[in-house]
Amino acid sequence: MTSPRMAVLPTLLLLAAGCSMNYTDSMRPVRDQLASNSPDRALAAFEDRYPGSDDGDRLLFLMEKGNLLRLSGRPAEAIPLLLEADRLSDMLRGVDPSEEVASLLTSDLARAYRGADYESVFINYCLAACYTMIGQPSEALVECRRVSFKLGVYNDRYGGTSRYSDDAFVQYMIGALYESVGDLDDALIAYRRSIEIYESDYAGLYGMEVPERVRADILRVSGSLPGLSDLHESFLRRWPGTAWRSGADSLDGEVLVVLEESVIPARTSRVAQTWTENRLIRIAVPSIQLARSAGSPEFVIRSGGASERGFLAENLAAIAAGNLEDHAARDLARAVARAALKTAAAGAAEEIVEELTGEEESFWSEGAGILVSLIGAATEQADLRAWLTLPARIHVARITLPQGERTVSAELGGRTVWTGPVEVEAGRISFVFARSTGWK
Amino acid sequence: MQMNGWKLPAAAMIVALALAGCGRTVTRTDPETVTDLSGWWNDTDARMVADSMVEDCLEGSWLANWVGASRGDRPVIVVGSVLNRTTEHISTDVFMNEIERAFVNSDLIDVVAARGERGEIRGEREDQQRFATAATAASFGREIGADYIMMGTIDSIVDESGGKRAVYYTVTLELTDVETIRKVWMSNLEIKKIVEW
Repeated sequence: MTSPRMAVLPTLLLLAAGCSMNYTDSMRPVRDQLASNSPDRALAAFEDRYPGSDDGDRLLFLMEKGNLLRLSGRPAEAIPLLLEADRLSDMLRGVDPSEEVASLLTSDLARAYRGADYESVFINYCLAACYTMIGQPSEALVECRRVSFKLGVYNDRYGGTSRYSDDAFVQYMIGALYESVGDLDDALIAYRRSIEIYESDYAGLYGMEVPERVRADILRVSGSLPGLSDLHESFLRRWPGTAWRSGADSLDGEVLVVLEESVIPARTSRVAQTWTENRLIRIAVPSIQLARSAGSPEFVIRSGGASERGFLAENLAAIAAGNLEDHAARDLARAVARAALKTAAAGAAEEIVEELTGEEESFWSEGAGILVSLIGAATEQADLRAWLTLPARIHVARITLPQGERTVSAELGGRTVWTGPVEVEAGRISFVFARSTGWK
Repeated sequence: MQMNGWKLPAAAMIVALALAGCGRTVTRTDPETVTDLSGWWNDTDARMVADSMVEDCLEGSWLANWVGASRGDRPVIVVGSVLNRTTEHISTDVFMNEIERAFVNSDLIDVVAARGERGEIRGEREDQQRFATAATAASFGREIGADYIMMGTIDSIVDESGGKRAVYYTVTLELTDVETIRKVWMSNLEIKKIVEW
């Protein structure tokens, strides 16, 4: 039987566990700054909270800091961190027995952070953006090839069992980057892959509209490549209603604006616990609460008298939630196994004390069992680690403009979210990476 | 007591695990040592490919034809660009330097500075006109024009399944006569690497 004094201890231990700061909580000041579109302050808050990292969370540290540097307009400083993140993400494979044992005795936080598949892909997207910002398109293309390789591996690995096995937005960006260096063959391949994913995956899984703009780009590029008239005709028959223009005038160039909106939703902890036979059994798993969607705001870019409507290219919030759901069964199975092991450890502790004292079901033996059970429950925590400085949604728009310096503005839901000068080069694509606060 | 049987090894294991995380060692290694830490392209690959391909180049008939045609004592080569088409950020400068080194060391070829290096050299020459004695200042118009330019590409195909990855590199180099744009030598070298987890 449990004495009343013993019942005080579980409360204290669980209170202590509840007070320990998880990753979502510790990143709140950073995300608050980012949500109000102050990446510099977000970076300062991050550096204040995380001056460095050489532990199991190094990958997370590199991704967050690299991305914050990119968003703060310091791409050259972001590149080394993101490259290390990419290398580390590639090397963190297989099973580390000591980590597995530790995670079964405590929680999944004992394992080194390996990142979700979409996070691994977005390391390369961020790198490609950084190289583009510093005017190194050939290095940006290396990142495109790395993304293509990774996505190919995911496609083979999951074969339809995971929602995220390819990325329509990233494929579209690869197409645009190839097009920007005049490699139209590779651009067409990437654009075609992009539209396939928008049609087959994104429309059904995330409720996104299939962007007409991607179809228009496929029609334009296939129409300008020699020897592909049959393929071009087949696209025309497939999308008879798509408005498209042939290649830009020789004195015109294009501006492609990528608008990253808001911040990706953080993970929260879902906890279930029960007190039975002097044992506290507690299971905690991560979850993502998606805000109710009010539809997609209209994204428009303007310059002079010209304007073009953009499209919602990526819903990372939905991808992150879907990815977590795909792994929910695995997370729950691990949590249940951990709870069983911790309960067995409590029983073993009780037996050991009984052996030492020579008394069965004594105050001390039961106390030892309860204590070990409480420690087990207190150490049970959902793994809330995730790349939290990524945007919730990404919008893309492109506009053809005469060469020279042009003032371009971007509007989301009728509100101007970015304005700036852009140097338009004839026959080239100028990329603009912008951020905005959330849209409600 | 039963406990004594497992308590000691368990304590030893905890101490060992704690100590395993401490300390860092740095070891100096011969640069010639083959180090494949990640399986990606590295300095060893650059050196090995440069040595092998330059050796192949020097055995080509173009060199014998050159000597036979008496166009000069030794052909002059400039190493141009090597295009990286892989999934890695390969420093092609390092690879080009390795090629230059292999050519220079062969003692059969004269190598002139590549386009990217010439600006600094010419700046130095200009400075000498103002600051060096007339007897020691380098003269203008005495650069040696290259007879041939070497250019190339590095491509890779990566295949991965389960815990195994195969990376297949193809390095293609070609030597072109600057005057006639005739390609006098072409070769490629393949490297296949298997990485297992």
